[in-house]
Amino acid sequence: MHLLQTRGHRWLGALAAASLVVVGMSQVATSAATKITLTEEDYFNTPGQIQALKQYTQQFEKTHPGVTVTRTYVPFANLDTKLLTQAAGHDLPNLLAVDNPFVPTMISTGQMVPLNNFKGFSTKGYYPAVIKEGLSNGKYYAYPVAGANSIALMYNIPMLKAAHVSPPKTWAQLISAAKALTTSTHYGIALTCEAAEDTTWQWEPFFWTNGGNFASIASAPGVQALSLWKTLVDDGSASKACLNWSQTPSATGQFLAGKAAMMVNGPWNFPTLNLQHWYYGKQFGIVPVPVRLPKQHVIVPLGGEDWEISNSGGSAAERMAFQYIQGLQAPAAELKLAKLFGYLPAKIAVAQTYLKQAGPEWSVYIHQTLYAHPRTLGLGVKYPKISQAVWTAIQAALSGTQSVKSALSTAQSQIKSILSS
Amino acid sequence: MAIHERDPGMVEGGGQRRGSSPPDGRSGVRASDPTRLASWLSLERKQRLAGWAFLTPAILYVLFAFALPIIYNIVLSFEQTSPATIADITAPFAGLANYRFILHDPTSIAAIVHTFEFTGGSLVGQFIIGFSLALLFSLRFPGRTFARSLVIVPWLLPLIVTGVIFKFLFQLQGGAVDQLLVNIGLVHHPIDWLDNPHLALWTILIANIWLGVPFFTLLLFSALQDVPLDVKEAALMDGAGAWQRLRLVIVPIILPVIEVTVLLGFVFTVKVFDLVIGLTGGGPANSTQLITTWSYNLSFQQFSFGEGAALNNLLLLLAVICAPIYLMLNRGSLGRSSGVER
Repeated sequence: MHLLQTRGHRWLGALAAASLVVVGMSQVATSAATKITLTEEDYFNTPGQIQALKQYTQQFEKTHPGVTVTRTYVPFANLDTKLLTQAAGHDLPNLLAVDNPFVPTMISTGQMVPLNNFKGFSTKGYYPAVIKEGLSNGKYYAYPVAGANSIALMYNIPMLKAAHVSPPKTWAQLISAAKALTTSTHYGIALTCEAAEDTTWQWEPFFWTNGGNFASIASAPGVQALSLWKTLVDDGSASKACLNWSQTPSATGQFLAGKAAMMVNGPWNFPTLNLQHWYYGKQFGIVPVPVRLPKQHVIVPLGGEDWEISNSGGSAAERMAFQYIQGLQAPAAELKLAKLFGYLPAKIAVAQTYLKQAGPEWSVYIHQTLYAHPRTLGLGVKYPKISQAVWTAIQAALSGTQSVKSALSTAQSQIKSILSS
Repeated sequence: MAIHERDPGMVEGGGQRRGSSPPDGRSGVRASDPTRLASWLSLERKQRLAGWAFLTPAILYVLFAFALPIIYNIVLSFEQTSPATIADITAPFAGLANYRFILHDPTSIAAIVHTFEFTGGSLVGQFIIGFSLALLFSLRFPGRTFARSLVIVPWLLPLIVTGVIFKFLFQLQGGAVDQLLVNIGLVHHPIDWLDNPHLALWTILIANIWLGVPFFTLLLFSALQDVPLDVKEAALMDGAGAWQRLRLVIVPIILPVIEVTVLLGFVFTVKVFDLVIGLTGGGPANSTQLITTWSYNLSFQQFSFGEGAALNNLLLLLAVICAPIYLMLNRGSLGRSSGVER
């Protein structure tokens, strides 16, 4: 029981071990003689992620004789396309782990198995937003892989001290802080504005927190949120080079190189930061994404991946695939996976436990996940198109091709036609 | 084939056709020596069959690798596709909806315009620089061979690598080009090469010209080598100046090669994809979307395969126009250049 040997929390481990044994025994009873090979595809590539999945698989194969789990790594940029191609040939892997905005698209292929079909499936205890990522027509199609992630404002403590600036809580403070933090050698903040989904994702906390809604993106909340970014760029507090920057690694790189005093980014950066001897509370601090009015609640988009089971392998393989992902929903497994992934456990109680053992840098992320918003909620397969209209408007406004208002009006008419199609 | 050896006259295709003037079955019946003629015909048939047998794999390959994707792409462009229909062989018929979308979508129209601007600009730049270099290398100077091999380097780099290199060169923060320009005092503020919607396409154009110059240089250089010395000498004797020799003697002689080179350059440029993806991903604000990048985006980022296919078929149309022109020019160039040599 490699997975369960975390110090402390022995009771949690014991509980999980017991439940695993029960699961294992029922498995042995049902299909003792059959040999099953499960295929799995995902885009996880950090050493921690690879190790976490490998260890769990080895343990799973030990408790389920005759079962082999074959994992295939596909780079992030190719996985969605590859899965769709495989769906076209009815040749999907038994198990797939996809980025959560892509979950509805996979469900729409009609080749995903509802998890409600399986004994033992439960939505109890999860952050509602996380488990709802897989909800379609009243059925749940997905379990979170290693929990969830989101973004917050990270800042360079020495730079803020040198400029006598405290971490900004409101937009007005963000503008003045970014200005004060800009010197000849570094910018106040590194934004992400490349032509990709991460730009929309970075802007969403500002937009949603301010009461924004995609269908009426050109009304006040949207105009205000985009004007904030525009001001940061026009002031010279944020580099215009962000038009070609990704969130990770570009913005992270600027932050680490000391070329930006702040950035909006996520906890998956902790391993990278620590490797460069940047530690929470010493080199960097974290506050929630600033809000326009002090009484506003921060609404962040929800990040993370989900397991889905395809119907390509027949019912025995489907059941076995479910047991594989069900085993990962045990609290001890969740804790271990979250730690190695740099994510937040998807169940509220487990996340609280995690906070105690994982350190204070997680605090902001854990608390705001309660208010996190799944990007595809109510939009489903239309989200990728909408996101594209949004990032195009952001780029148009920041590059000066269009005014904030006209860029958002263009986006709004595009979004309206997407929503009505 | 052993039969061949018995009758060496049969081996040549031309002789064969002449030999069997009435190629139908009736001639066999009329012939004075039926057995011999029968073996003749069967031999001919066998050969023809063997010919087809040898051709079949190639035909199957062409059908499978070229015709099938093209036909599928055309079918796709008339369908209402989505991930929900991906597993079915056919999706609901969409009529001309996808084409109507392309003609009304501002980004698609912009992508088409960009593609022509980009291709035209690239060809002009590549030709002028490539031809100049080819002329330069026709002169004798020390280090000529080394310089010539150096020119080929861009050609050897994968496009995506070129994209990354140019991104480093032209990026706003710490880009080598801006640092150089600022240091020598040509500009006061760094230029936003890739972040300015009005400049970004030009920057990619520069990168693509750099990439295409080796191709033009190499082909035009070898054409220049083939210009007969006596013609050049005769022009010199007649008192033609350098410019006159170039314009009135050299260019007309190598014109067929120029035509084919420009046409091939057009085909190579119109389908550029990796370079744009590597440099800007089509941004900022879609100002560098080409037909290729935008149809990829429609198909694989927005999962509207039908719309992506419709846009992509424009490229297919261009290829359909270019292929016969190429064949014509190629045939013409062979005739003309051999005529010149005689």
